Amino acid sequence: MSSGEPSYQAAITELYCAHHGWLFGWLRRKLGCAHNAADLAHDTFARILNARESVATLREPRAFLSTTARRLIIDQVRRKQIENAYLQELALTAEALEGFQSPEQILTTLEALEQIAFILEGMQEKARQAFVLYYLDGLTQSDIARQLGLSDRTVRKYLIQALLHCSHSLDT
Amino acid sequence: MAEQHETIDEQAAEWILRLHEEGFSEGLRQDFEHWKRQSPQHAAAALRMQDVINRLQALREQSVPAKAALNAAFAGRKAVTRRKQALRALLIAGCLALPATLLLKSQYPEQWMADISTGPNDWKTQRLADNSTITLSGTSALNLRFDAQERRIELLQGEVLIEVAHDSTRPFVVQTAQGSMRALGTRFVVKRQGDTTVLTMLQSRVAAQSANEQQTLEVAAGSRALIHRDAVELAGSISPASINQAWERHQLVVENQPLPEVLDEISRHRRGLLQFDRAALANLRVSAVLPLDDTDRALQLIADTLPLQINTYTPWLIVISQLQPAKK
Repeated sequence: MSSGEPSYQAAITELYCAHHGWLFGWLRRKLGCAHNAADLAHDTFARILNARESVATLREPRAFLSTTARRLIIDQVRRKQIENAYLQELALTAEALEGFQSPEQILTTLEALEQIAFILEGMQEKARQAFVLYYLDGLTQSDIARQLGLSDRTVRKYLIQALLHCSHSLDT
Repeated sequence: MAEQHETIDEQAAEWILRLHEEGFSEGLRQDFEHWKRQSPQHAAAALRMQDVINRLQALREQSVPAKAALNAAFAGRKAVTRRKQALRALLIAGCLALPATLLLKSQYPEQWMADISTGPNDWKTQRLADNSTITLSGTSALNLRFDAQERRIELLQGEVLIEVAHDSTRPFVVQTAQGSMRALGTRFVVKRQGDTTVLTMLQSRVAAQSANEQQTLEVAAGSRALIHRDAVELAGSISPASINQAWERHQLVVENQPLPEVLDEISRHRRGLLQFDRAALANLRVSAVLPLDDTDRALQLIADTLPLQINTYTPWLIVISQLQPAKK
């Protein structure tokens, strides 16, 4: 209940005034959409308010805000979707079950996948597909062009676009 | 300044792509190193891009499951639009003087936050503003969109039992990726199951419509319907009494259902992961009443009647496989 005290109000107001602009700017570049960025920046503060998180003694307020925003983007539901899809495919390669992937490895991979999903969030769909096919599957640009029904030139354009997105996404 | 930044990013992207295309020739690599040394910003831009590429390439050996996971992460993203202007306006005003009432309130009205969700072991019953009641089973999530014209629920995941309070002026609509169900006052269950929505009618009737709006079907109490993006079909009858009871007691009632579907259901209600080979278990069928709030026991009950092996690696990883006919 201490969260209702004026000091908490003051702390959160200060956090908001000092960093909302930064958070909004970062999310806008990341999501490529001012509306979604404004909603998400708002939700980030709403969640902090709602959870009564202590904000008075934050050493790295921006890291705190971006982590909170990340949890909102890759929420519980999507985390479960990532997990289910991964494990389902893994289970299909049945031999892989015993010995090959330890529980710890699976956990590490899932964490890595969540982070990648967060970085790729907001990327245009075709650009994301091309990017994943290029660097994860190791396909050539012309293979990707054929698979996605695009010209080689367009695939290259999407890859550049994807790399730019990655840079913006990690540039806090 | 910002323009300068953009140019560095663009150049970095061009370099990184060229290196990949031209197979890392020594000369090109040295030119790239030279480019990166121009300023810390140059080096940092290249590093950020390389970082993401490295993360993807680290998963190459398991590219199939990794890609499935990433696809799942972005599937149906566009369907959910965010609409929170009202609260946003409030917070922007709050930068000048944060309204004390907002802070003193014990909790945000749930529809402002849009999401109601449950974890694996949760069951949540909630009365809505219109006196309708919803109950979510494990790992379920929905958005509420109520306005003067209609009462709309977007079921994002899992399963919800809905008891609609009668309101002849505002229809009650449940929306999923596959279609919508429209009612005035009734009781029914909606479940997301893969790329299908399963509607189970307990009372009265609703109009179910496929997402492409090509098919509409009126579904009455005691019936079950499957809703796909392009079709709605009836799928046999159910006993409303036993389903009501099952919801009260947190049970899963299945009759001659393929084992993988039953395991999916159990998986939704437990923390930790349940792994199984869907194809190998597809021919096994289950008829049972299973306790969903004690999933260990539910699994044991299934294993008692079917030739299954349950390997528990850690509390959160269980692998289920078919027992080989030849005893080991």
